[in-house]
Amino acid sequence: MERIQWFKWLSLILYGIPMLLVLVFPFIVMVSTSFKTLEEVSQIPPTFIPRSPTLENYREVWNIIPLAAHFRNSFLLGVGETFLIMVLGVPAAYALARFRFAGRQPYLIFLLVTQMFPAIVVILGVFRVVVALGLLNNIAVVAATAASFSLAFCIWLLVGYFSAIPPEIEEAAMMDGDSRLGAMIKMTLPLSWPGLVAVGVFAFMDGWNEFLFSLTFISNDEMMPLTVGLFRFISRFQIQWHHLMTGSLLATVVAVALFMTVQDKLTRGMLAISEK
Amino acid sequence: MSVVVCKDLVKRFGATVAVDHVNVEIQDGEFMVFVGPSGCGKTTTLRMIGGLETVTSGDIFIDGVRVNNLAPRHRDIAMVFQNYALYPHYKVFDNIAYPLRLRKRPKAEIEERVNTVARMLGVQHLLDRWPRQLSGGERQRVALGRAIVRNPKLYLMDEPLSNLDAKLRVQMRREIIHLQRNLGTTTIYVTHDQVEAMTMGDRIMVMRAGKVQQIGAPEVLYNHPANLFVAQFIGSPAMNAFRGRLETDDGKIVVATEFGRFPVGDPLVARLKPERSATLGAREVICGIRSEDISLDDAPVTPATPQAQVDLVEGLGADAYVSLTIGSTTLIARTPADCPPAENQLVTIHLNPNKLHLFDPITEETLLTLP
Repeated sequence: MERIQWFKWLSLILYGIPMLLVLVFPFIVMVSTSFKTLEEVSQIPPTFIPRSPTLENYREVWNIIPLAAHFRNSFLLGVGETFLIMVLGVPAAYALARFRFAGRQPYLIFLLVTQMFPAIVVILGVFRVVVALGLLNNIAVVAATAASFSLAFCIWLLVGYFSAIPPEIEEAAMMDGDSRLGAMIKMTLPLSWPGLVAVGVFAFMDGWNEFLFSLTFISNDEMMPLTVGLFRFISRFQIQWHHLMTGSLLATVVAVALFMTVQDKLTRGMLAISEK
Repeated sequence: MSVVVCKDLVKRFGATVAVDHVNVEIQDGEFMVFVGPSGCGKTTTLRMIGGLETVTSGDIFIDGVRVNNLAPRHRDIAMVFQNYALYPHYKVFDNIAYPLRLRKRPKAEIEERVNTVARMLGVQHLLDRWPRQLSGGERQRVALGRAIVRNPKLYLMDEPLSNLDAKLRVQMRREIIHLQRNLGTTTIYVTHDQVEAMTMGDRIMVMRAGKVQQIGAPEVLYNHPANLFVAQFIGSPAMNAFRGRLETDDGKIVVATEFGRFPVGDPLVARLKPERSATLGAREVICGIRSEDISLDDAPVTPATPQAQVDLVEGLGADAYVSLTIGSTTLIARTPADCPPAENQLVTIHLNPNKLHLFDPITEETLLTLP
């Protein structure tokens, strides 16, 4: 037993702490840079603790770019993608979990296959369609496009959760007098809430972090989400590191706050997946 | 109250025929048991009656109304599942109340009916608990309560006792029988346990590989099985069976086997199917006899009363089951437990000539007319 304890401490010191530092390092640099002036950022050697910490970046960043609008658009993207994935993905996953129909297995494989294609492969074709429909600079279109790429994965996740709910519970509800839809809403969804929360958080974070489609379909400053708006701090000749890091930190705080709120449910959801 | 009629019912899952032309009529107020080995189609038949499975072909009528395309909620049927299927996120009260709430009954009526049913089943002290806090027997009572609270016209029960221990199973069996008799509601009960079938059913439908083997009262199936499968499935221990040949000895019909020549009683000869009796004489048969119809003693050995060796004696309280070897055949006889033979002892066996069962060796159908 003592040997095991000793080994555990050794692993922690040799592996755990260095890995933690590697993972946390970018975040530490981001926080540190957000309190520096541009001159101090450019200094060599770099400093981790700002010599003259300043809050000016936190004031300036709201004026240089329409940061409030970017926050709003990112939020709309997150909410929009979550809404679409839930509305489309939940019934699809339920049907795949509960019904046996011709083509079910090939369809499940097809869902997997679509995940092999990164969005960049099809972006040109999608762009031409969006242009032809006159739907550039439209947050809803970005949300729908992003959702269409995440939907397959979310359906796969939800199929696993729904399959774990004994079908007898819904059948009992139907025998008691409920419809199939009623049984799904009153029985399956409440019993699979860890999975729904996990998928919801994934969908929101996917929308919040959405970059490629926003960059491609949106040119109007006021319509850009945070990911694209902050990108404007990177110009051909200079990178406004202090503003970029400040904006990124503000964006991260929201994501972290959301995660902290649902962390418990998310952990339970992930545990439930692993048990299945 | 209802009459359920299944006409030529078929259910296919891909190339597999799970239910193969089932025809059965269940009378008003009857306790009908579907019994058979795993995979025989009994649960699938039950689920088709309940509307949880679609019908491939054939018809189901409840009270004269064809229900093939009716959703379960429109059939006014209540079902008790093997694993209880209680709603884990509802307390016991809400589980039992659920069917009434779906029908938008007034709150006071729901309260009163749930409490009445809970008192009837002895679970009124559990109404505020969650299903996970209940024992197996308590969960089964709650599941029964949920079924009976709305007075449906038909109960379906899919092996509701199979997850309980042996003692609780016996207790719950009696409770279900009393409940059904008090309520008088038509009930279809599925089980793989032939003891449950024999003790609970007014009539039993034995199934095998999707097909109906025989339908009848327990005593009819026990005493007059339609084929070898029913003969050996119903009754414990299973009916003894051995091959032989029908021959005549001094004008009397006997079953000639490798180990003896056993007379066939006159009542049985009279019941031989006409088409069979015409071909008597050197006709191959499978002969069956129940364990209680074999008696053992130390009388002199004759062709009709051969000698067997006792292999094993299993005492079961009032009776003992004696496993015997005779030639290449093993028989099980039932004797009183007060003076069983000893192991390895040689005994003379007597087969009751009026209790033999004769089956065709190829089709395994009975050669005797059924009552």
